[in-house]
Amino acid sequence: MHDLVLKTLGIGDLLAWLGVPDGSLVYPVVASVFPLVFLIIFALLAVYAERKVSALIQNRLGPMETGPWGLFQTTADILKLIQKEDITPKAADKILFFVAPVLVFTGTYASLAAFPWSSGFVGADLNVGIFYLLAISSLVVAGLLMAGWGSNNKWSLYGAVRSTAQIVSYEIPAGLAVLTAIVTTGTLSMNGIIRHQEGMWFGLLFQSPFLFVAFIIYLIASLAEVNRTPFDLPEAESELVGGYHTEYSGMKFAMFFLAEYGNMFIVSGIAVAVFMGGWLTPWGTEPSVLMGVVWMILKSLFFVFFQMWLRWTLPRFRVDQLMYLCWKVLIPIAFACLIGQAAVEVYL
Amino acid sequence: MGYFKDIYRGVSSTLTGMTLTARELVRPDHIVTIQYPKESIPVPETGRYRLHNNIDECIGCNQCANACPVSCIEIKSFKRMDKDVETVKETQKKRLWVEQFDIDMSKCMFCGLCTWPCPTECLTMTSVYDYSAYDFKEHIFKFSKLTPAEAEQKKAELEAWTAEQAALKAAAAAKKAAEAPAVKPETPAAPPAEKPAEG
Ligand code: SF4
Ligand code: SF4
Repeated sequence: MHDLVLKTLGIGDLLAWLGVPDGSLVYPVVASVFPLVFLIIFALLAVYAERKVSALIQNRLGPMETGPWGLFQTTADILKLIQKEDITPKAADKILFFVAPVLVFTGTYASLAAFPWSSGFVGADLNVGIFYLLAISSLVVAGLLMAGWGSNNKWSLYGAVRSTAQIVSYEIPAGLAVLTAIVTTGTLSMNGIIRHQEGMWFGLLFQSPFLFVAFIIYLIASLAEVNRTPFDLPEAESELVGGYHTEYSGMKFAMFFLAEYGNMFIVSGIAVAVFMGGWLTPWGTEPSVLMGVVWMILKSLFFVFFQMWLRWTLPRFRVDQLMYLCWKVLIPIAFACLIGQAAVEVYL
Repeated sequence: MGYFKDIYRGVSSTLTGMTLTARELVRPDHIVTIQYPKESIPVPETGRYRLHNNIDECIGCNQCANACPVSCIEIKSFKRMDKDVETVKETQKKRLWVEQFDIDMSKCMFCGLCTWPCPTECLTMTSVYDYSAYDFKEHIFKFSKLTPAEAEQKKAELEAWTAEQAALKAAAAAKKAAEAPAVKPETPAAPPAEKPAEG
C-alpha cells in the first residue's frame, strides 16, 4: 500500500526531498500512520458535526464559543480528555480492562487496511476484501464484552451483553445484504466490486429492486453494528449510565470514542463501496486516483450524515423490538432479496 | 396481514420523522438559543432585580430595614446638626447622617417589600440581574457616601455642638430660674438632658 499512498499524496517526493533513502523504514511507517491521522481528524470533525446536526435539528445552536462557530470545540475536548486521570476501578479485571479499548480500536484500525480509498489506493486489495472487512469489524464485539466484563460493574455488563446479542444478530442481515450484491458482482475483492459498477448511475443501488432493498437492510443493520441510535442499547445513557464504557476515563475512553466514530465511517464506506460505486463518480466513470479518494470520502460522509440524521430522529428500540426487527423482519427479507437477485442473475 | 402492516407503519413513520427533522435542520430562523452574555432577553419594565439606593435622597429613616423579612439591609446613622438638615422631595427632612447603608444581595429574595415604605422613594429595584461574583461578600453593596474619617469628624462636631447646645440651654434655664425663684421653687434647675446621639 505504502508505495501508492506515497505516490498519491506526494509524500514520497517529500520524503525523498528530505533525504530519506529508498526502502527505508520511514515509508511503511508514514503509510500506516496516514489512516490513523485521517481517523483522528475525521473523529474530531464528526463529533463537531454530530453536535451541530443535533443542535440544528432541535432548533439550538450547538457549540459556539471555541473558535469561529465553535469549530475548535472538539479539539479542546480531546485535549481535556488526554489530560484526565486514567482510572482503573479497584474491583476491575486489570488485564481485560486494559485490553478492551485496544482491541476495539484495533478492529476499527485494521478495517482501514482493506478500505478502498481509490482505484490505486487500497491498503491490501484482498480477493476476500469484503469478507475481511465484515469479519474484522466483528472484533469489536469481543472488545465490548471484555470491557463490560472487566469493569466489574452491572451497567457495563448489561451494556456488553446487549451489544453482543445485538451485533451478533445484526451481522446476519448485514452479511446477507452484502451477499445479494456479491451475487451480482461475482467477486469479493473490494476494487473488483467497485469496478463491476462502472457505467452504472449510483452503482448497484438502482440496478434491481432486490439490490435496493438489500441496501436499505444493510444500512439498518450497519447502524446496529456501530451502536448508533435507534440501536444504541449497549450504551443507552438513560438506562445504563454509559453502558460498557461507564468505568472508562481519559485516554481509554477516547479510544472507545475514536473507534465508534471510525466505525461509523467504515460501515458507511462499505455501504458506498458495495452499493453506490465506491470511488467511481456518481455517473459511473473512473476518476483520477485523487478524485477517487474525494468521491469515496464524500459519498461516505453523506452516509455518516445520514446516521446522525437518523440518530436525532428516532428514539431507542426496546430489546424485544430489536430482536423482532432483526430476526423476523430483516433476515427473512434479506433472504428473499438474495434469492430474488440470484434468480435475476440466473434467468435474465 | 398485521406483519406487513407493521413494517409499512415502521417505514412510513420513520420517513415522516426524518422529513420533519430535515426540515428543521435547514431552518436557521427557528433557532431559539439566546447566547446569553452576548445577547439577552429584555427585562420587563416591572422586573425586580438588584436594589439601588439613591443615597442623596435617603433620609435614613430605617423603614426599609424594618420591612425586610430577611434583614439584609443594614443602616447606621447619627444625628445631623441643625445647620446640616436638608430638605428632600420638598416635604422630607434629612435629619440624619447615614454612615452605613449596606444591602446584602446574596440574602435578598427580591420581594420588593423594602421599596414600599420608603418615604422619598429613593430605594428602587433596577433591571440589573447579572452581577454574579466569586465571593459572596462582593454581593454586599455599600451605598453610603460618608467615609469613616468623615463620619468620625461629623460625630465629633456633633458632640461638641450638642455639649454647646446643652450648655446654652443650661445657662438659659439658670437665668430663668434666677429671674423668677419664688414662683416655682420645686422646678429643677437643669433642663432635661439632650438625647444622646444615635448610633
Ligand atoms: S427586596 Fe425584600 S428581601 Fe430584598 S432587601 Fe428588599 S425587603 Fe429585603
Ligand atoms: S426607607 Fe428610604 S429613606 Fe428610609 S432609610 Fe430606607 S432608603 Fe432611606
